[in-house]
This record gives sequence, structure tokens and C-alpha cells, in this order.
Amino acid sequence: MRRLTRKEIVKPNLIPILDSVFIFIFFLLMSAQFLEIYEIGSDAPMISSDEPQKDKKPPLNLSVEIRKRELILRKGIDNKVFKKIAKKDGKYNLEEFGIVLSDLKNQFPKEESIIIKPSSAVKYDSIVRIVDASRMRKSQLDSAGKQIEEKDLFGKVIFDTSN
Amino acid sequence: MNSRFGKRRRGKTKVLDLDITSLLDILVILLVFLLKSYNASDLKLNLLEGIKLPNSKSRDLGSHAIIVQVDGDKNVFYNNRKIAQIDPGQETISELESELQLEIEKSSPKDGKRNEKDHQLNLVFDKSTNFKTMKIVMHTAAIAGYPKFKFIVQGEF
Repeated sequence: MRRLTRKEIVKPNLIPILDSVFIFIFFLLMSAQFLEIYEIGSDAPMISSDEPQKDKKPPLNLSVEIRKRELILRKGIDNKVFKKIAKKDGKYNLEEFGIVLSDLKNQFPKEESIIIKPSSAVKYDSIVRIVDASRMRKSQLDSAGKQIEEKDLFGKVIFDTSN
Repeated sequence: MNSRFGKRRRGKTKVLDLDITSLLDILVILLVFLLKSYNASDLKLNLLEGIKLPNSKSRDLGSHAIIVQVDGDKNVFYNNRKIAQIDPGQETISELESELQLEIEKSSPKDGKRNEKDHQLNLVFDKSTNFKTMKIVMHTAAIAGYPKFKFIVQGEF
């Protein structure tokens, strides 16, 4: 017959772990930012005196005019209007805007810039939404009908402050 | 003598075993919460009262630079100090221009070459600000030697 002996439960020493967790918490508390802040980069437009490069393909030169009731898209060296997108239910139709820009990106995959020209009365909130829509497009279908999460469009945003 | 104030009885003192498991649980929860809100950005922004940031899908982290804030009443703050109020008729803000030029003089290296980061300006606008006001601030900054703007927005995912 085996003798029954009382086994002592070994408790791990948690104090060093506790010390390190405390230090870690203080470090994180110091660097915590409870408001998620990000940035949208933009350059002021500049005038270049250089001769334009002679490429086979003419540059896209895409610009968006934000008016009170619509978005006007222009392209090409002659800055010709090629699309007007009216507001839908009192809001800028960003879905259609995204589709147009996505098609343009497919035609000009190397183009990165977009010039944004808002009217004086347009609010900053609306401008940010349009800038977001011109930089990235979410949830769309590719040519094979497969869902694409995100697509980079025109990441380099330049504001036209000429008038 | 074994009186009340006399010799104390010597006995084996028992070490009090404190159960810290529940405290550790709380700390781990706090740690996870803080790790979630950790931001690697070196931008320290004291958002002024009354300024509401617009929501954006941008994921670019902000970086340290001069901060210019404009509230809904068109008051201009330079590094949290009110310097001017924008009048819609004006084209530039002279107070902001002189502050920025002073900063260039202070921070310019001896060889005269400024790196790209020195041209940056963090712009914080209230979401109700119209483009006319934004244009005045941007125009002033570009004239003063800061042509790279970083518009500060609130993350929306």
C-alpha cells in the first residue's frame, strides 16, 4: 500500500512580473493618445520654368473643382471638362466620383497627382471627404468580379489656391 | 514578569500571504487597453477647445512640426497662442507670417540648407471652416517659407 503524503502547492512569484507590468503601464500612459489623430499631406502649388518633357502619352493633369452643387472633373493640358457629378441627396456623390477616378487610374497607373480646387464657401469637412475619396477607394469589384478591399488612387493632393 | 507592559511573548509570526491574482488581472486589462491606444507618432497636439476635427480615412501618422490652429470663429493660434483673427477681406495674416519667418531665422542651420521637415506645417482647422479661410492661412504659410501642409484629421475606420 502506497503512503499518502501531503503535496505542497508551489506558488509562482508574481512580484517581478507585477513590477515590470507597472513600469510598462506608466510608459504607455505617457505615450497614449486617446484621440486618433492622422494627417493628410499636401503641397502648395508651384510654378515651374522647366520645359515640359516630351512623352508619347500626354499627362493626365487631373483636377477637381468642388462647387456648391457639383464636382467638375477636368483633365489634359487644355484642362477640358470631362465629367460633372451632381450632388445626391444633398451630399457629394463620392461613389460615382470614386468609380470615375478608378477608371482613370486604370488608364494612367503611374499618375499620382490630383489638383483640388474648392469654391470659397465649401466646408473643410466636405473637402476632407473628397480628398479621402480621391486618395483611396474601398470595397469594389475587380474585372473578375472579385471583391477588392482597397485601391490606391491619386495620393498626391495639391490644392489650387489661385482664386 | 508577564505583565501587560512587560516582556512580549515571542512567537512565530506568520507571513501574510497576499493574493495578487485579481490585481494582476486588472493590470493586464489596463495594459491591453493602453497598448491598443498606443500611437508611435511624435506629434503632441493640444487640441483647443471648440475645434472639431473632420473625420478621415487617412492612416498617415502625424509628425512633429509647428502647429497652426484655426477655430470656428477664425481665431488663429500659433503653437497654442492666439495671434490673430482672420478677416475675410485680407489676403495674408501678417502676424502669422512674421511668427513663421522668425521661426525660420531661429531654426535655420549655419550652412543655410533646411531639410524637408523644416518646411512642414501642421494645420488644424475646425471642420466648419470654409475654404476661403483655409486659403488665407495656406497662402500666408507658403509666402513665409512653409509650402508643405499637413492637415490634421481624426481617424475614422
